[in-house]
Amino acid sequence: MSKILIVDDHQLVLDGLRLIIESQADLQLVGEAHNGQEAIDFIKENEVDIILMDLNMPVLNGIEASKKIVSIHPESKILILSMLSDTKLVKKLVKEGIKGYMLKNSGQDEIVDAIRRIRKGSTYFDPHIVELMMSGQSKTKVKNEGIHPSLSRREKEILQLIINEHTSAEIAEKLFISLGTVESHRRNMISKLGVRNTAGLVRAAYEYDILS
Amino acid sequence: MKNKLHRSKTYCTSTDTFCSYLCRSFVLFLFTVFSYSSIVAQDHEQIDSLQKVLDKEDITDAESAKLYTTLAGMYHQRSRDTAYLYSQKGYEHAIASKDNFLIAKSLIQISVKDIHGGNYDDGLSKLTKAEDLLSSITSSLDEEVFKAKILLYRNLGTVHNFKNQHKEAIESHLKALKLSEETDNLVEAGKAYYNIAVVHFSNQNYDRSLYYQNKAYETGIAIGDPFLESGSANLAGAIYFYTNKLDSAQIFSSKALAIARKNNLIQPSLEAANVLSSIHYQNERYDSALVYSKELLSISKEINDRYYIASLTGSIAKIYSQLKDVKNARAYYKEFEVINDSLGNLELAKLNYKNQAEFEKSIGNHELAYELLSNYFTIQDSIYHQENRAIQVDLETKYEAAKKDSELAIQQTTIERQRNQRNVLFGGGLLSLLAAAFFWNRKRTSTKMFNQQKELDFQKISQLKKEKKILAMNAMLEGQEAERMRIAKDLHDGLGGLLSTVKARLTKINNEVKKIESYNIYEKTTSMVDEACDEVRRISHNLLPGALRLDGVKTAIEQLGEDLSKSHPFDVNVEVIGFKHKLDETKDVFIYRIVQEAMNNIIKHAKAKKVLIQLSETDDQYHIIIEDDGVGFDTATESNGLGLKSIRSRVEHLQGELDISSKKDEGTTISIHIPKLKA
Repeated sequence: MSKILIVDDHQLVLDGLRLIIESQADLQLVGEAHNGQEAIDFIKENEVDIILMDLNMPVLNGIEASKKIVSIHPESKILILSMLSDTKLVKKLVKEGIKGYMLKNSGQDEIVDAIRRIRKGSTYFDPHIVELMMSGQSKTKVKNEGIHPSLSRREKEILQLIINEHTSAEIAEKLFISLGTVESHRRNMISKLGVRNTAGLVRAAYEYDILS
Repeated sequence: MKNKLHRSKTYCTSTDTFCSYLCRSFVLFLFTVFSYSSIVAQDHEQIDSLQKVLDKEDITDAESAKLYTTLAGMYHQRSRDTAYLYSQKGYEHAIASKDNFLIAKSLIQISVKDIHGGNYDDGLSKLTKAEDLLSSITSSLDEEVFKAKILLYRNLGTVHNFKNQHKEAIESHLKALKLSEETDNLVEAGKAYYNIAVVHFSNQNYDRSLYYQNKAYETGIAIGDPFLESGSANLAGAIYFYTNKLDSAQIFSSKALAIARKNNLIQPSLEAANVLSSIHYQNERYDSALVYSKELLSISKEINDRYYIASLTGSIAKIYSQLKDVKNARAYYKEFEVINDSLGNLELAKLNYKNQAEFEKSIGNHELAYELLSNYFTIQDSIYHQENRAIQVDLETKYEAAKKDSELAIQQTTIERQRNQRNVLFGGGLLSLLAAAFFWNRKRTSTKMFNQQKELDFQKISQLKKEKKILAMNAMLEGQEAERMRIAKDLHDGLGGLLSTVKARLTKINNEVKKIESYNIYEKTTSMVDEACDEVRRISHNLLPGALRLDGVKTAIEQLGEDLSKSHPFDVNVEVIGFKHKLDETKDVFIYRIVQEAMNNIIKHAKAKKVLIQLSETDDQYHIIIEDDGVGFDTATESNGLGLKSIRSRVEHLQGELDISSKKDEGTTISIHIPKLKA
């Protein structure tokens, strides 16, 4: 018998899920929560095998709630049930440790199948989501921390002028932008290249051969 | 805010011209024995042969009654007077024949004359009698009896509707519907659906009306009946018009007009053109409204419907007023007066005096406006007088109130006129005072000092102006976002949740009911629910992406990059440095919209192969870079395209800096720096 907690801020959805769960002999509904915080409070007091969780909820949304629940009980099995099909959200949630993701218009059989698979230690992702994730792989590159960030053409233009010993005021006049904007560009470059000041900027430009 | 008020005001003033007119134009299917298509050649022959039979001497009363009833039905579309005459004869012969069924049938028929003539109580009593007679007939399985009953309930429903007894009207039409369904009579069922929809429409119950309208429309298509198809499509248009969904209204009414025109149906064409004209008026597309109104006018002249002619002439005058075409507006107001003089419709006269007064007032012609308004109130009074004669005592107080209102309104115009004069005086006084001060000041101060002062003042003023502008824009932009968020949330939470529950319940039903025939319905319904879910998701995502709402701008922009690379021929490279947490809501949404707008520009114009979106942060700023390798543009001349304008206003809102640099055939770089502290 799998103990199930359902989390959704809409009573209608909770009712629908209850109908589905109660129709299965091997599933037992142990609780209903209306937002992420209620779900966290519940699992602190009760034993739960699988949590069916919505994302878009007041007080504490499903992303935050999942993160906290996994940090309290790392063995928690969370199955997200949402209207959203944003693949980036799914990826983020997988990193947080959820076990499955389904769209809310899944049929009863799919939901029951997903619950059983996750119960056995496997994972389940909506075919529609999987398809979206596969097709998104090839062309976009997402770079985050730890990788050398790009400089824009504008930044390189400004960097070149700095190297040619122009002052910020001169650069501003030359490019028809305000002094403040030149400064903003300069500070952004310093931060992106991980240097401390303009001298560092010039050094990095040569070292990384940025302007060639 | 000011804008909003203005719109709602035009809504009120426009609907009074169009409303009284629009509501009137919906015609219920009243009485038709055969079909409502016009009589064709074959029918003429039929009529001739029927008349020959009637001339025979040995014919029984029952046979005569039957023939006259049939003839009346045939003439209904052609000449109402002839139809009335035949049905009266049919009734006389039916009475003589003492056949209850024939009496009932002819009673139903002659009730039509009462209903058309506005004698609703007479019509009602005839129909009630017919109902009694029909219920006494035992061979109720007879198809003829069914048909008669359907007609009976349809006419009953119509009378009740005219008497504003909406509940009874619907009950009757539902009875007609039930009988039609029992006999699988789609033609009659279609009319019943339409009639129910019209009753709900007159009762302003637009949801229900739409439900039945839809059934009528589908039936119209299924049985290939252009009258029903066009009529119900246009009803949908009217419903959407009244619920302020003007785009949908336009789609449906245009469809209705096309069908009506194709099949040469005059009444439906009139109705559809009428709704369309109202929609264009509402949308402030006065030129298009004018086209439809003029077309309507020419149709009405063709069929010589004087009420329509007068009403439309007035509408056209009002449209010309909106277009500030003084010459034409006055010409049409004049023409309206001439037409309405012979028609003598006080309601229309009143309405048009009021519209004309407003128009003259708007162009500053207070004298004439005052005069017209007086005419308006004279008619208003006389209408009340007329009503008073009928129900003297009850209306006495109402009349007094109206008179007081009219006096108040006249006073109001007078006051306004005086105030205008006073403003001119006051303004003039102030101006001369200022001028005096100016010269005095000029004398005292040296020119140099004065100029310095002036420049400072100018700077101050332009600074103030700029701040005021930003403030107004902030309010507008934030209002827009709040509205989007609300709609996205409603769609997603409300409709989405509901749909998924419907699906869950459907699945449950399907598991219990394993009948093969119901399985098909289940499959079809489920796939419809799925489609609806996808649609909700798509719309809600476009309004405000879920990732943005739940996880902030970083994830949302990564998602945007992925979605765009998938659907467009360029690669998007998204770099995010920092942005560990959600920013405040306004910044999150605004940065997202800025990037979205920049991407739209790239999609539309740049022909890029590669796009870089970079978000980074320093101690006190967020930095956004959107760079493409496309065709570029001239920043000196094209820096105010619509997309750039909206980016600029959002950056201004966040009090950030915007730097756009572009070189032909090299591409465009948009850099934005936004302060962290200030909102």
